[in-house]
Amino acid sequence: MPSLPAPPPFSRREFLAGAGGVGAAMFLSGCTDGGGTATPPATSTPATSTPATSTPATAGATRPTGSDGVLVLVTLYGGNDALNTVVPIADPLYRQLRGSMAIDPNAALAIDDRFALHPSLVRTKQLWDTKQLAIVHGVGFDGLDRSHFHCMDVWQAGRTDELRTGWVGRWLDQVGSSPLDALGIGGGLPLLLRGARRSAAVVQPDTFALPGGPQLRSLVETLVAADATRPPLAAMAADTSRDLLSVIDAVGPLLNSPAAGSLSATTPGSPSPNYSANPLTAQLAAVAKIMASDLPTRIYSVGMDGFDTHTDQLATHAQLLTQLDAAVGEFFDAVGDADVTVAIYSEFGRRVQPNNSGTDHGAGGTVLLAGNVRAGHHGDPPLLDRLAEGDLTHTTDFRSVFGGLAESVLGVSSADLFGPQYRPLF
Amino acid sequence: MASTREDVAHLLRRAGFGGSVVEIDRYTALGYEGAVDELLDLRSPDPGADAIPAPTFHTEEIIAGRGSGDEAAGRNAAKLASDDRRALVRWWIERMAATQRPLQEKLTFLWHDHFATSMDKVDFAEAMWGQNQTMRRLGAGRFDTLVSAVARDIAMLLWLDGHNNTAAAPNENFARELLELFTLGHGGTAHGGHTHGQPYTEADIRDAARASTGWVIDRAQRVARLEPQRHDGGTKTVLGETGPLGIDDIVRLATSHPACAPHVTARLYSRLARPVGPDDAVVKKLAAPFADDLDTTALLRRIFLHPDFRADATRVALVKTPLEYIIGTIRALGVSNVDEGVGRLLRDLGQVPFYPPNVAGWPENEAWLSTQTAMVRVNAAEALARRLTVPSVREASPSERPDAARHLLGVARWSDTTARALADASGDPVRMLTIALISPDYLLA
Repeated sequence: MPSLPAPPPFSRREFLAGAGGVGAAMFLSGCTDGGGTATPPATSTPATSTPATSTPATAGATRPTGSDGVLVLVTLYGGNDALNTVVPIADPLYRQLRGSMAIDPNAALAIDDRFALHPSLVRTKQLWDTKQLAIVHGVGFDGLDRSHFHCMDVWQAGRTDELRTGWVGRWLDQVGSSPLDALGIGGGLPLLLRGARRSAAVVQPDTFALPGGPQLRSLVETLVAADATRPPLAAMAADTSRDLLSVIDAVGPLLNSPAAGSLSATTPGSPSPNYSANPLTAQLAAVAKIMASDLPTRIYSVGMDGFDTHTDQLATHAQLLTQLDAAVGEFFDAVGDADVTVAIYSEFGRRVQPNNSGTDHGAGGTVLLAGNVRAGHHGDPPLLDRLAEGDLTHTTDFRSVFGGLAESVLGVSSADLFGPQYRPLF
Repeated sequence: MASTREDVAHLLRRAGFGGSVVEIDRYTALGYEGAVDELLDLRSPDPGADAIPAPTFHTEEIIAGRGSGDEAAGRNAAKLASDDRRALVRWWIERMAATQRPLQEKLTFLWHDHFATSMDKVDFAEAMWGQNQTMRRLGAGRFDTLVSAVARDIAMLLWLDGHNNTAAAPNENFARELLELFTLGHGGTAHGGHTHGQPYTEADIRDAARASTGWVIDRAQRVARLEPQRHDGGTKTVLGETGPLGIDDIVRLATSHPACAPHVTARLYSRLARPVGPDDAVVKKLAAPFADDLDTTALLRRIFLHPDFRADATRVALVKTPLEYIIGTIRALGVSNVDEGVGRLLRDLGQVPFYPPNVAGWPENEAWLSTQTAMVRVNAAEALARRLTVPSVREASPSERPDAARHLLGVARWSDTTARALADASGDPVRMLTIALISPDYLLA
């Protein structure tokens, strides 16, 4: 198997040259290197958006079969400050433009001579060191308008023309055979999980059982039996209740059992995990429990709020990233070497120049992929001297990232979910 | 052809929180148009709501305790703040359950959903209560008057960082949501999938943010006031007008923009009738006179009297929101003593008043039909059915109980499947009522 010489993560010359030729060649090499099934789409459909270049730092963990993994999508709601998450610490423009909101270079966790992780991302740094972390730079889409709702809807829909279904929902429409194929953990039903014909079930991470005993259960079964005469929304209500009954039967006993791995924290004398303080930990603990069973779930959706740091950014962002980092770290402790990829994304990044004590809505997101991934840097970091109206520009369309995950983790066609114009990354 | 009673039951569900048997009978006696007039008459006495005492707030003690640096005082302040927040939520739930002017509370809630402000960030219950009073007082009047009041509302200033928006460092949070959500709409893909142009530009937002700089909160007077040295008095251009614009100019320009009336009409129509975008034919027709007078009461009357509002497709076009579900059930069953357990049910269903998920407000329809809400509804239905005080279902013979429940809950008819389950359950009135309350028929608004 040919192995690529490990290039320095990036150079601006490579960005310019790589956009068309070198990047594509690396991309193809990368695929054979991985031995996966992630075949790029036919070259007859040229990439109309920015081509996704892939520059694996080293041959990291690779997937043996490439299509039977588990995908955990972690949504950071509010617009995570990408620039202070993976920090271009060596770029003098960073300090100059970010001013008082710049991360202290002495505290940042350097991963190479150009980038450092936010000081809160201690466990994430360990994942980098063990080749279990991929960083995709400059991820966004054309027409980003800085609206939380519109931008998050676009990311979750995976398209800009129609925002009524999510891409995981459409995956369910295509391949779904069981209400357990995709699960939301905690909260309500995000657009991501909403399909035209079916939506993912949402389970709560702590306890999950039907009240009222067997008598009520049998009446509910009669009540929600299939009935073609119902109007569409009533039919959907009945379908959802039937799904609920089957999900309760399958998942309830798992969630009501003690946790696996370190997430259990049941060692006598050790403090029990404070789930209310870190809701993401509770959600990922539930994912780990379900993964340990033989249920067929392939996609999990979890999320965290609070990233809209218009004010008091330094302290708030540090606290949020600490929670994220701890939850993800504990999750990998619990699942061991399972074939799982965790994808962490947000609707947009923040404006490069701060306001008083925070940052306004910006662009240029960074996606973090952890677990079974092609470790290293991917995509081209936006240039701080080429801002567009004060914002970072994106260099990789987010559908190239999700499309890459669809092909390499789920083994389904990126083009079917996102259209042929987005070349899947990895 | 629906009977007048069925039309009135539909009207009371959409314009209020559903009606008890007695209420449906009373409004039916007025005829449909008479019922619309009666609902829209906000001068009628409301002894039910008047009987709910307003909460007592501890704002000054909370601020003093937090600022004292003393640990015990800080803990006490946190407890007081939490008590105030809980009391406020409970107050509004009780008021919605007790009111004899249901449209007023429904409309106040619809504006809360439209100008969605969360106590999560605002923190002070008293500020949220002030905003709530403003929306109740102005909600049925002119829309531009309401927006103008909301723009300088203390809770809104705290929520969208208006009090931090200064000439030296403009903060766009409020200006963006004012144009995107409160007045003009995003112009992107809406219901129906039709894409049209965004009615404002990024430049409009930046200058609208500059125009709304300088507002600070006067704590002693409980008002916001403009502090000239924090205000950007320079020339701005917003929505085509150039000058030393201030916040009232921005409100005037936004509410008189051609995109405003269709956007606001579509929002209200989506909540009251069926999900629509601003390009919907009915919305366009309703929005034309609203653009001229911005009179919300006149708009509501036209909505309720439009034939589309009572069309068969409209009757099955909305799922009850958790609030409609819980408040409507409480009113129908005559549940007394609306305690904090009711607040917990709303929390688990995902819709606590004063805590919208974000500034876009609550979602609709399919979003309430997850396995999660299905689960909580079983719990809620069982808990509420046990607290039935209206005697009809209990006193009816088992064979008459399904029909008694239908009458009680204002449901036009049970589907065959639901009727089968109700017949199976009719031996136990509480269990049968639980089944009725979680039936797909009852979940539709």
